Amino acid sequence: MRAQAVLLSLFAAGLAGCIQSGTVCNSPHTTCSANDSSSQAICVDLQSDPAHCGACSTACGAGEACIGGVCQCPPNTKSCGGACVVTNSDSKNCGDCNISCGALEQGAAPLCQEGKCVDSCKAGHTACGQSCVDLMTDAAHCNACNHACPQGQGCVAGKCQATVVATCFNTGELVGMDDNLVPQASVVIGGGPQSLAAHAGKLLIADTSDEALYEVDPLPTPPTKAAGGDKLGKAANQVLVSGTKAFVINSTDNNVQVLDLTRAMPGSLDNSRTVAQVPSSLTSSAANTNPYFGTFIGDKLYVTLLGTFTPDGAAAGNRILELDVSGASPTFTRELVLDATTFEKDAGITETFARPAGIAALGTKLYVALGNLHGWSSGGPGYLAVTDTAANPMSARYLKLPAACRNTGSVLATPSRIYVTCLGSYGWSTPGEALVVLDTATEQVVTTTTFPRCGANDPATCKTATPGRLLLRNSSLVIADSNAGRLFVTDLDGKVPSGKENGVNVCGLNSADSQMTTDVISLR
Amino acid sequence: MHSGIGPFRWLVPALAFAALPAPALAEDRELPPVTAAGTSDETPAQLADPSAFVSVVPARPGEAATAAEMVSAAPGVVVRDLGLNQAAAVSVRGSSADEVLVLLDGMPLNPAAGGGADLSTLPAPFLSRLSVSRGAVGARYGAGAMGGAVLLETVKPADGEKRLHAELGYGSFNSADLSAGACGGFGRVSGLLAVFARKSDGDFPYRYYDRPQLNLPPVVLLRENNQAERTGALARLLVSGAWKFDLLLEADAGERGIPGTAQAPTPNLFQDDARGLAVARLSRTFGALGLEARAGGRFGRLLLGNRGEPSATPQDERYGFGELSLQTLWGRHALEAGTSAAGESIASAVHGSRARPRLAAWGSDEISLGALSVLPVLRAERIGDASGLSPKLGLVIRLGELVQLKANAGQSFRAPSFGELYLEQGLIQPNPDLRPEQASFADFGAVARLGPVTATASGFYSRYQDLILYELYPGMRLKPFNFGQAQVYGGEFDAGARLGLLSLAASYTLSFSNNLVRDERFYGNPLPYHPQHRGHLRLGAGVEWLEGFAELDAQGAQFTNRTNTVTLPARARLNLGAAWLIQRSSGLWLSAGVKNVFDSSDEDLYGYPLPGRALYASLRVDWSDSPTTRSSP
Repeated sequence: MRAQAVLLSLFAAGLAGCIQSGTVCNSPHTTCSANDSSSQAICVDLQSDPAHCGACSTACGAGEACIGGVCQCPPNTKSCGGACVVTNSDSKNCGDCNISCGALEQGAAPLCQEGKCVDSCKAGHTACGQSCVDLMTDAAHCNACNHACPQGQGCVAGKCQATVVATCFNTGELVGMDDNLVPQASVVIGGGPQSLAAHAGKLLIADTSDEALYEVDPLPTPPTKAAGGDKLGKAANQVLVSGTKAFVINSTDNNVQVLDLTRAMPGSLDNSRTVAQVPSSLTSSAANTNPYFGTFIGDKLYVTLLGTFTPDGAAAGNRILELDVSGASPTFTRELVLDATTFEKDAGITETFARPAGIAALGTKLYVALGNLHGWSSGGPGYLAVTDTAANPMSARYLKLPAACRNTGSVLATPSRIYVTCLGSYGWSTPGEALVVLDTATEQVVTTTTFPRCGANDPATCKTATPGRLLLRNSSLVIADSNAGRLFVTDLDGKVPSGKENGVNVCGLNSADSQMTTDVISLR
Repeated sequence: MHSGIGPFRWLVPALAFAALPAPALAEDRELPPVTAAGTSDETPAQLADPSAFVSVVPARPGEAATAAEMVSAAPGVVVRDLGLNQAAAVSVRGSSADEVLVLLDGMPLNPAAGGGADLSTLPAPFLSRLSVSRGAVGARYGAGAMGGAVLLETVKPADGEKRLHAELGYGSFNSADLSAGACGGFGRVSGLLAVFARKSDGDFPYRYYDRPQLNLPPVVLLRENNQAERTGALARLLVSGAWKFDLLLEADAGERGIPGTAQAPTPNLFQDDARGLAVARLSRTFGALGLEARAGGRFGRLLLGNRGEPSATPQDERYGFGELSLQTLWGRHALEAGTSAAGESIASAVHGSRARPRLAAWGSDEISLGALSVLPVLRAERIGDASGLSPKLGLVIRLGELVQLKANAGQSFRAPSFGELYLEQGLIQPNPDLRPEQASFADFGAVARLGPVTATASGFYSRYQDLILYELYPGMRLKPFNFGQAQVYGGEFDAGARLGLLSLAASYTLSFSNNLVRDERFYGNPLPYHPQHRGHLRLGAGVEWLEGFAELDAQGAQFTNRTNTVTLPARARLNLGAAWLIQRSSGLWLSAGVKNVFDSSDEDLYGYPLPGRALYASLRVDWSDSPTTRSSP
């Protein structure tokens, strides 16, 4: 009987090994004690939390930001006499350290505006002490003098919020940033956030792993994820918004799903906002079409069909669909089958599929990034297809991109420039990670920018970049690094400023050390 | 203290890998494991672990085409099935397929490339039965048995008896089976030869939801490129006497279309594979000392290609081993020690050649303390650069002749496969820095025999650490890392009974799992592809010339992702069948049945539909020169 008791105890002990209680933080976050009387365990991002910068309870000083785990002056400030000051508006350091404007009572240009001492603030600006600021946009004086936004937030219409947002696939993070791409503490949003869109002040996040669309309010920061969401198909690759509808491109499920955003977000994961779903071809199963990206021209939605990685699957893709989205449900109108027979190929490659991925619209024109992939082993020399949707039938011209560009990914078009990212070959067997900038009018290459690519002899800190999705801001281009969880910033000609070659870290760490910044958008 | 225990009892550990059951075991004090419908009282030879929780599934001619169809009857088991004619791997106690060791008469079948043994390539006509030993039983069976071990026993010749067997079956989706065998012997030598061939078009209709978010009616599609052909032969030679010799030769080969998922079909992809193996065993007892030597080898070839494309290059695997073990009695102790050396290699034109040695040494004891037996085992192994210990402690308490209590606790490990370490396979990347996975377990339960009913009830707790999981990597690729941790616990129930004309076999598993990866998205969540409920019930009834059965196989809903936002619904399948003895003298049987009677439409894994209702019929001749041999359906 004694032995029986021992055995029973043994098994009971086994069952008692149920999950441990306590706070569990995901891999980019660390468990720290809150800096308050509660001292409760909280998850913090040591890379970006100014209250726990680099280590638990290591707080940054006033005006400092926590960037990469180090307390430092934010990019829009300068260290003057040990303090971080905004030289654009600080009257004691106006334009640079130790350049003082006149005393207020003496009346000689006492105010600092845009780095210059002036007598009075220009229209739309308010004098906060001796600083001329726009209360609608100034993060140090947001809606009221001296009302500073927390780290990682900008001032949008007089409210503090993240102004740039990125997603990290492997860590599930949603990362808010300010205008200088200084991140706030990230939040974990789902299993694998893949694509972002904004609608009516809300963020829409298509999560591939969760097969869900989440909607979060970026105010207050950090955003909180409400329960529920829209049930999506398999492998949602992109969410697009047009009017009050969201269009989700479900790549593995081979369909386009339409959500009515005027309806309240579902309180549980369901389909109550889904109003239409159409297979991405005329065949009912749309097998192997693998819709990837889309863009609008008027009431037409153009969707690239990448195809899958077998010869049969590639043939099902290799085209661009045109869908009329003016009605309740999208209807197929026409398609453009791409012709890659003349494409330059690697030695031994005979495959003739263009593999269209990213797509951008400008006027009536479409610009389509062509991966020119062979199976999954090689990203061939990159191509860009150009087609005019005003023509019927549509036909394509093919622009060969520089040799440094292989396996094109995303494309963004403006009246002056066309930007194309190149993901490089799968397995990195051949270099090809690049940004190609073309002149829109001449379609000639303006710049080809390559990104860090690490070899076996490089230090562990070296991270190979995989330039992915793009965001255009006022005077810069932001590129999501779909390998190492970074953002790269270039000027409008695609040149990386000196000292910024390694980009800005926005995603935390994970087991693969490959956090994958999947998307980035602006909320301004 | 050993009263009533014959000397053969102490050979039980020696037979741990034997190809033949030990006749003396029938009179052993150990209660046998539960067998479906109570058809066997023999302890399976490979299961010579009195404290282990083991379930036995007998072969049922005409019903199951492959080992994959047989194994789902055992508790603790979940078969991950890509559909008719396609690969099927097994999970035990929440493990992955890689973490289940599959042995064919002691020969490991787990591929060096990884991915777990594919039970769909093992023809049921070659098997007399299979058994599932649950838990981290690597101490008994070798590294890799983290969730459990599936032990396949091939058919064997009966002592001197001449038997002929032939069976022809046909069923839905143009599926046809032909198997035949003969055995006989003279003097101390007996032999068996068996062959089989099978083909199936596999073109079953399935329901595809092209607009799943709108709850619209599905379209009905036909599964294409799902055909399969397979053929094989098995020979076995037994020599009895002071020296006992057992030789198994087996070879089979097949080709099947690889249809892909419903969303991304692959109408031209195909797989050719071939396997040949040989296992020889020599044993002898010298008084209380038992000696056994075993050696064997396995060759496998796998070729994946696309019709119309340039010829693909095959991937070859080789495995060879030699093993020596000694057993003896010493006071209260039954001791065994052994050592083995093996080598495995993989080679292809794409990946080059990889090879590694496998060395093992083990020792075990069975300490008899009256009604209590204590069974410690320790195995040390080195596999390539990985090494580890697999200890296990088992207890058996006999409460009279009818009830036994059993308990076990142990640890085991799995060395990363060549695939995980070195092979770039499409979008799957290798990681040469991987460490071995680790598993610990404890279980406790009772085995009871009450008249015609044998039942086992047990509870278990398993903990898995350093699990190798794949993380999405740039370029849509996947790469393995040692970051997984999980626990699985629950209860298993297994019963078999024969009551006059009725027979019953039932198994049920209630299993809970928790992902223990330190990530707030997943921590504590049930593991994907881990149903909480799993059950199998079989009712049979009949007389000597006519038998019928009803079989229900059910499993609960399961999540398919780590965040538990996507669910695969629960499913249940009912099979019905009957067998009629047409002519007693020739042992001529006609069998027929319906699988998935209610035509339920399910998928088991992401995008792989399972077939709906299917009919089959078979004609079987089972002749013996021994009037005592009962021909059963």
